[in-house]
Amino acid sequence: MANPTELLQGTLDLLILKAISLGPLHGYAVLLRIQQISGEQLRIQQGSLYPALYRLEHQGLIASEWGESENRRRAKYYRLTAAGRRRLKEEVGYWERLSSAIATVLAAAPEDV
Amino acid sequence: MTWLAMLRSFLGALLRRRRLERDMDSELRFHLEARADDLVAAGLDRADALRRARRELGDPLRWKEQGREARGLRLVDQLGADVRYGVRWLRRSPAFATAAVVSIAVGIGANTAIFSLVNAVLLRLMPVHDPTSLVLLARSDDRPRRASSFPYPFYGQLQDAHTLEAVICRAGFESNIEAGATAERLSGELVSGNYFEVLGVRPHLGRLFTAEDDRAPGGHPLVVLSYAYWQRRFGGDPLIVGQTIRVNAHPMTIIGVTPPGFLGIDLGASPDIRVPVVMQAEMLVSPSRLENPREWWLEIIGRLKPGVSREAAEQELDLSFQRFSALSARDSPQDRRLIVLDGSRGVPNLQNRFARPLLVLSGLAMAVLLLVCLNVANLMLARSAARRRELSMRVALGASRGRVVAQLLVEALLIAVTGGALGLVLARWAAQGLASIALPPPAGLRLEVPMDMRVLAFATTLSVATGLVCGLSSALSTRRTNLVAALSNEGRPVTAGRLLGRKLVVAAQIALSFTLLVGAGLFARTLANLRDLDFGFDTGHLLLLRLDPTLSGYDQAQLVAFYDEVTERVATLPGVRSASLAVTPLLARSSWGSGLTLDTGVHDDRPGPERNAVGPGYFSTVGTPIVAGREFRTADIASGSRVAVVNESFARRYFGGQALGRRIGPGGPQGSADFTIVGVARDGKYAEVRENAAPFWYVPYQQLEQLGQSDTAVRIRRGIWTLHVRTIGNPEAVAADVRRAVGAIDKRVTVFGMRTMQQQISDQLVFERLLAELAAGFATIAVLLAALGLYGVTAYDTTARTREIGVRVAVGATPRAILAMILRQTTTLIVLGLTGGLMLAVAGVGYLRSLLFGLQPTDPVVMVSAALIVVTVTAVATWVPARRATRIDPLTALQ
Repeated sequence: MANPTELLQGTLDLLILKAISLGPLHGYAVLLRIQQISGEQLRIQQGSLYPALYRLEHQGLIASEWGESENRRRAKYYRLTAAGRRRLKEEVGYWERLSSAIATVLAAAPEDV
Repeated sequence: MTWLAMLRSFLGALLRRRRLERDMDSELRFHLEARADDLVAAGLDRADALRRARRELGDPLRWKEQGREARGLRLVDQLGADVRYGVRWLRRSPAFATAAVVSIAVGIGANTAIFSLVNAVLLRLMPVHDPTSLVLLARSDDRPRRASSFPYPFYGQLQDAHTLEAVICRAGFESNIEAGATAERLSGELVSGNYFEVLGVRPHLGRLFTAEDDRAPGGHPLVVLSYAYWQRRFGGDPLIVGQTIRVNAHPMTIIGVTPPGFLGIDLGASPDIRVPVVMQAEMLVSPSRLENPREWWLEIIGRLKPGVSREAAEQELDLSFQRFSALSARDSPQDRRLIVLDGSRGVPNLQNRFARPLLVLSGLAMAVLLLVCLNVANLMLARSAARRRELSMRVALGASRGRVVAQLLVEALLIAVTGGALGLVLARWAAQGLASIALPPPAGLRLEVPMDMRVLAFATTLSVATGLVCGLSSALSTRRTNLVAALSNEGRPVTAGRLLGRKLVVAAQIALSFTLLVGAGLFARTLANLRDLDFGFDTGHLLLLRLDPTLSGYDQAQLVAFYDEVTERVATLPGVRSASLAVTPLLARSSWGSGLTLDTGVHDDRPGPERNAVGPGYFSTVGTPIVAGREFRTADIASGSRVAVVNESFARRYFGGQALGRRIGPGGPQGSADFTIVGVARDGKYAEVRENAAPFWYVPYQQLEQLGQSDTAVRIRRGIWTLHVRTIGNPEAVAADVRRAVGAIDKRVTVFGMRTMQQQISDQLVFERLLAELAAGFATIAVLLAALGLYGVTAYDTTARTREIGVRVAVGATPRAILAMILRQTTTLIVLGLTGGLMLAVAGVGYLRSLLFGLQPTDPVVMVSAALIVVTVTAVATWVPARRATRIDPLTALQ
C-alpha cells in the first residue's frame, strides 16, 4: 500500500477515544498519537480533528481543561470520561465484530459462495 | 445521561459564547505553533514551518464553524441573523411594518380582551382552597344549571353525610346599613359559620366567622365586611374592628374584613357584608326559617372527601334528600331529585347568563383576527413580490430554500409577536372596561379580570399562529423556480399565479366581512326591535324609586299610611305629573306568581298568572290604557269593597273577553273569589323586555292583606315597594326633590334603586347593546380591511399591466373600455366573495337564533344591506386605481 489510507467515515471518533484512553492529551498530541500508533498508515486532515473533539465533548464522552504543554505553551488537554470509556468499549467490540465478519466474507473460497 | 450532557454543553456554549470562541482560537493557534515547532525541529526555518502548518491545518474558519455546529449553536446563530435582518428590513419599510403590527395588535387585542373575560367568568376556578373538590347541590326540578335553594333543616341533616368533608350554605339578602349618620343600601350574604374555614379564606383584618358564631338563632350580631366596601365606606380604616353598625335596624359588631381577591361563591353577587346565617330572622325581617323545612332559600355547597366521586356523593345525598322530602316537604313533587354539580367555579348564575354572548363575541373577534391575518398575508405577498429580486439574489448566492422560508417566517413572527405584545397592552386596558360594560353593575365593577398565565398563553399562541399563517402564505409563494426566473426576467415581476393567490385572499376577506356585517346587522336590528317594542305603557319621563320602611321599624299598619303620604307628597312636587305605588316594579326582572280562584269555582294554581299590587292612579301614571271599565280609585279603598283590574290576556283566557263585574281571588285552599273586576288594562311587559303576553292581574296595595298568608305574600308584604313617578320634563331633574320629599317624612328610610324607566330598559338590554356595538365595530374593521385588500390588489394589478394597458390605448381602447375591463375583473372577485360570505352567514347564523328578537337569522333586510355596503365600499376601493389606469399615457407606458 503506497499511500496512507483515507479514514473511513465515523472511525475518527473511535480513534480519538482510543488515543485519549491511554492518558490526557492535547489536540495536536492526539493527532501525533494516532499517526504514531497506526505506523503512519492513516492520514487525518489535521483541522477536522477539532470539530470531532468538540462533538465528543458535547456528547459528554470526553472532558477538557487548560494546562501547560511540554514546551511551556497553554494547551487544552482532553481526557476520557466514564461515559467515554463505556462508549469506547462498545465501539471496539462493534468494530471487532464488523471487521471479523468482513474478513470472513472476503476469505471465503469460490466454492463456498 | 448523554442528553443531559448535551444540554449542559449547549447552554454552556450559549451563555459563555465569548469564552468558547476564545478557546477555539487559542486551541487552533496552539496546534499551529506545536506543529511548527516539530517542523522546525525537522529542519525547516520558522516562517516556512508556520506556512506549512497552516496549509496542513486547513481553513480555521471552517473548523470553527463545524465546532459551533457540533455544539448545536448553528441554529441559534442563524435565528439571530434572521431576526437582525428582519428587524433591519422592517425598519426600512416603516409604513408596511406599522400597518401590519397595528392591525395585528387590534386583532389580537380584541381577542385577548374578550378571552380574558371568558377566562374570568367561565374558566377561572374560584380563588379559594382546593376549588376542584367543591360541589354544588341542585334540584332536578329547577331549570338546568341554575343555583338551587334548600331549607335550612336539610342543610343541618347534611352535616352527617359520609361523602362530604364539609358543607356550607349561603343566601343573599338586601341590607340597609346605618353607619354613623348615613344610611346605605347594600347587598348582604348570610353564611354558615364554617363558610370561611371551608373555603380557606383568611381575614385581611380582624377575624372571620367560625363554627362557634353559628350556634344560637339571633345570638350572633356579627358582621364581616368585604374589602371593597371597607375601602369605599371606611377608607380602609384599620380600627374598624369592634365598631358597631346597624344592619336592617339591628346593631351588629364588625369583626373583620375579607381579603381583596375574595368575591364569594357567586361571581354575580359579590356581597358587601356577611352575617352568620342564624341571624336570618333579624336580617330578613321575617319569621325564622331555621326550623322551617318548607322554606326553600339556602344555596348549599359541599366539599367532597378525598377520593369520593361526584356520582358517589350524589347517590348518598339524593337518598338523604328523599328521606328529608318524605318527612317534611309533603307538597313537593314526587320526581324531584337532588343532583350534585361541579362547584369549582362557584354558583354559576353569572356563567349561565353570559356564556353564550361571550362565546358569540369570541367568534366575532376570531373572524376579525382571521381577516387581519389575511390582510397581513396579502401585504406580505405584495412585499414578497417586490422582494423577489432580493430573495433571488440570496438563493443565487447559495442560500437554501429552507433558509429563505425560515427568513420569511422569522419576519412574519417578528411582526406578529410585536403586534401581539401591543395587543396584550390594548387588551389589558380594554378588558376591565369591557367587564364593567358587559356585566351588571356589582359584578361588572368588582369582577377581577386577571391577565393570568392562561390569558398570556392564549395571546402568545394567537400571535405565533398569526405569524405562522402570514409567514407561510408568503413563503409558499416564493417557489425556487420563481426566484431563479425572477433574476433573469425582470420585465414581468408578477406571475398570474401569485396574483391569483392574492385575489383569493381578497375574496375570502370580502366573504368574512360580509358575514360580520350580517351579524352586526342582526344584532343592531334586534336591539332596535327591543327598544321600539310596545311595552304597554309609556316608557318616557318615568322615574322609579324603591323604599324599605320596615327596616326602619315600620309595622304593617304604619306601612300603608307611610306610603300613602309619600305618594301624596311626591305627586304634588313641581315637575311631577302624578305618582303611584306598586309592590313589584316594572321591568325589574322581578315577578310575583300566584294561584287563582275564579267565581266559577275553577282554580288555576300551578302555574297561575302573575300579579301586582298597585296604588290609585297607577295606570294613568305609567301610561297603561284601560280598555274597559276603570282603574283603582281612592274611593274603592274607603268603601272597603275588594276590587281588581286584569289585562286583556287575562280577560280572554278566563272570561272570553267579558271580564268586567266578574270576581276572582287568590288561589290555594283559603282562596275565594271576592275581588270584583272593575277594569281591563292593555297587555304589556311586566318583568322582562323579552317576555310574551300573558295573563296578569292587579289589586290595590291597601288590600294586600286580603290576598292570604302564603309565604310569598309575606315576603312581598315586607314593604320594599316602588314608587312610579310620571314627570313633566327630564325625570332626573326631579330626582333630588323626590329624595328630599321622602326624607322630610322620615329621614331614616333610605331611597334606593332610583332610576328612570329608560335606564331600567337599558339595563335589561346590556347584552344586546354590547353585542350590537362590538359587532358593528368588528364589522367596520372587517369592511375597511377588505377594501384595503381589494384596493391593494387592483392597484398592483393595474401598475403591473401598465404596458399592456398602454398598448390597448394605443390601438384605440377608450378610457371607458379600460375601466370596464378592470371593473369586470373585480366584479368577479366581489361576486365570489359575496357568494362565499352568504354561505358562511347562512351556515353560522343559526347559532345566533336565540340571541335575536323579532327577526329571522336570514333577515332579508340585513342580508341585502350587508351586500350593498360590501358592494359600495369595494366599488370605491376598485374605482380609484381603475380611474388611474384610464389615464395611462400610451407614449410613457410603451417607452
